[in-house]
Amino acid sequence: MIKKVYRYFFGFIKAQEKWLNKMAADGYRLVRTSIMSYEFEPCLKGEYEYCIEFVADKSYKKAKEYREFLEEMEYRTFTKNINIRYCIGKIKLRLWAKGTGKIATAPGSINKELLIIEKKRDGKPFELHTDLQDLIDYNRSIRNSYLYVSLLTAFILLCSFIKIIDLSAAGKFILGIIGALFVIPTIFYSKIIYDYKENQKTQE
Amino acid sequence: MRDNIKGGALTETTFCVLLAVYKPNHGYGIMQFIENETSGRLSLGAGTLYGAINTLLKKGWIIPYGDEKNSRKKEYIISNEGMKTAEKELERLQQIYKIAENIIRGAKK
Repeated sequence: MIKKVYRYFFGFIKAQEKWLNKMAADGYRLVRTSIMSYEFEPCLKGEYEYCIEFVADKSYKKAKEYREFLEEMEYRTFTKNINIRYCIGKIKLRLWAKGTGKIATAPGSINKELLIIEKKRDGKPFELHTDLQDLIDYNRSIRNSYLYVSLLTAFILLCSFIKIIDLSAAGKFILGIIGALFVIPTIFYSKIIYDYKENQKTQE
Repeated sequence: MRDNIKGGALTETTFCVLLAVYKPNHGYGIMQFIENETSGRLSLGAGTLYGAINTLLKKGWIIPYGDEKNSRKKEYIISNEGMKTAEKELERLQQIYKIAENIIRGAKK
């Protein structure tokens, strides 16, 4: 019997991962994802565990290759959106992404910013990135995506304050809230990167 | 490590992946090889391994092996350039080992 649950986690990757692992601990295995929902089938409690990978910095082709690699490693994968966006034929610039990932399309890499990865619980930690440099690069990708939006909102606010563009007080307020929301994870991931870099001075 | 850039030191991940493909091997096999040979000390995450394989492919130190279209898992094998790099790394490690053994064992006497 399929259990459908409606949840939206925005960009809170760790929160989503924690929730999926709680569902798995309660005996539910993920079978399908869509923009606002997750579908589960019953399984043994704790049989599976989940990890979520941010792949929005990769092009559609690279993300697909990575997904195929993970499936060769005997993991099961699902794509998931960060934003709520029902669209076909859309093109978006992601200046913080790598290579051709800077252009995201729908269909394509829009609404596939995350990969949910499943493995059977085997008692070993479920970590996709274990090398310090790799951890720095991975967290930097996530940090840069938040930093890009923070800088963009700051730029638009600046333009409105110096009267280059006209924004209402409500518009400025909303933009300020959005900017603040994106600054928090920017600082969070910057701290993670800093800690890894400090570690890297003496260890690999 | 950055201060070894002139010495050409490889990261442990890089060296272990090179060793794992002296015979044709796929991603899962590489991960298992490294874990078994290090008795579980070094357990590579799939994301780290994916990055390492792509880096080594770009450098030409490993090459795809076999018919990619027909096989379920992509396999890789070390190239001649990769073997030269691995041999240089072995010499470097042997030199460091001799220095460390002299000093550490010497200090204990």
